[in-house]
Amino acid sequence: MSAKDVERLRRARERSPFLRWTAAVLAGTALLAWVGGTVDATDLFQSRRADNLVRFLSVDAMPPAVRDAAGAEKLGALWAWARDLVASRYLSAAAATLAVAIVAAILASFAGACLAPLTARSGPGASSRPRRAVSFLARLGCVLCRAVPEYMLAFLLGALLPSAAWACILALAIHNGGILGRLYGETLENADQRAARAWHLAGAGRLVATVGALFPAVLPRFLTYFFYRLETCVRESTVLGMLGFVSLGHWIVQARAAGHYDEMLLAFGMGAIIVLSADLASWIARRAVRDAS
Amino acid sequence: MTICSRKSPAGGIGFELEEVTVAFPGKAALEDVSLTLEPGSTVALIGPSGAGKTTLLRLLAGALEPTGGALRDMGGVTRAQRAAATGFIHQDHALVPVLRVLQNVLAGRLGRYGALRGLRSVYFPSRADVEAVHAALLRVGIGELLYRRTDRLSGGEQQRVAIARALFQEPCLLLCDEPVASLDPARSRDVIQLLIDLAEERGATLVTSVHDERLAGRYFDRVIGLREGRIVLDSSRSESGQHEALTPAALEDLYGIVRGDS
Repeated sequence: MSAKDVERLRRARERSPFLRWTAAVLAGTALLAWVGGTVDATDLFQSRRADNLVRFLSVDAMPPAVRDAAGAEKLGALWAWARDLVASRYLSAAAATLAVAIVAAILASFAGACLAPLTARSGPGASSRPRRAVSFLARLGCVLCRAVPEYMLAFLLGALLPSAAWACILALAIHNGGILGRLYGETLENADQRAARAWHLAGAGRLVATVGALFPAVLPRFLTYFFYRLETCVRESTVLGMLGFVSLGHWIVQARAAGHYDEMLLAFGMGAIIVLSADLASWIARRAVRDAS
Repeated sequence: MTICSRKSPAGGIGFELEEVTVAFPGKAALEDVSLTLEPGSTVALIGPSGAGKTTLLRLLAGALEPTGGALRDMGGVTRAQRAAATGFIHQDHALVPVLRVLQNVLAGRLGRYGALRGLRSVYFPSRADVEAVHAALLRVGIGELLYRRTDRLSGGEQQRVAIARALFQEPCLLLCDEPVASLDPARSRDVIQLLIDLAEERGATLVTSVHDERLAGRYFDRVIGLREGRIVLDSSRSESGQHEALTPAALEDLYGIVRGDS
């Protein structure tokens, strides 16, 4: 085969106009955003920015007690400052952050488990017209719940409820309940249906067949999804604290408002430790569930 | 006294099928099947794979409705009563693998209860129910497995759990889909004998699909041969105790291959 033939075949190769147009639109949009005025790349590289960074690290982010201490005493001063802040504010805030996340995740999981038999499109009696309509509505409800961001939901619920903590819990529970309703439902759909059908055939109702025969089989998968969403709830409850309830997010907002960037950084650090701990605990739990099943 | 013994003098549930057709998209699994199944009888369904045996069993169980013809049960029990009184032993056992043997057997009586009581009966059984399950397991020879997780059992043990579930259900109609498909000949005979004994003790109607026509001829009062959704052989035990219609020629016609003496 000559080079001419290869070139002819190359030109005649199948190409997707959709992909080419998509790439062109993406490139054009990125360029527009870059040069449109909102995003100015030169902002990042001005000498003033570098000065700000140096001042932030050497002055703003440094606790006054540490700044004032002599060379060898700086570490001791830092430890005393951090210990006092953690003991007086951040430990209870971290506990509140965790409590909100855990309560929200449990509520979301309960709601998801209740919704799952409705969202699942298989199982005993699932092919009937009323069941398909119920399934469609339940799935639509889940989509709506998860489509609204937790922050917006918490903001709305905060105006309706007297307790900011409950507003955050319900916001997280609604958003994650929608996600878990879909995930649990899809897990039920993919589970082996034979035992549930046998129970149904022996006269058990649809609810009993699903809860009794399917739930035990899919419980490990449900638990892995629960821990996955618990991780997310811990992360989000830190952020939602900025709306008012006394979590780490609340102290981050307070510290920023007062210009205490050293305290803000310490709260960030505590938040990171909690989120990483939740990730680790979730990973261990999921591995234990996987190994046990 | 069971539901069907109150309704039917013979104790079991009987059926009359009149030109019954069950059609799936693109294929009729049963076609113009007319048949009377007497209450308390023991019936074997034989025939090649795809002949319609499982469809006929599912039709009798109420899992399918005829797309043509009429199916009547003798005794006039309601659909819910029939479901509660029908034990179905599935070819794949249809057990919940992560549950204990106890809970899988308890599931046999779910048709008698509402939703909440049904769930409670499986997860928080009464002492009387646990003892009744143990008795059913002893009857099938695996009493010591009461609290074992079902997925830890061998295939043969799982099959006995499925039989115990049907036994615990106290059925008046016992339907079995290939209950000995994966067993050696000696165990197959044991299981079939067990099913026959259970049905006779309760006066229940027993309908079983099997591939081994020798087993069918030896143990069952009646042998029905199906091919391509139609009945091509119907043999009842004669006064001499033999199935005289179960001849090599009839079996050759049923399976389309030459077979040995039955």
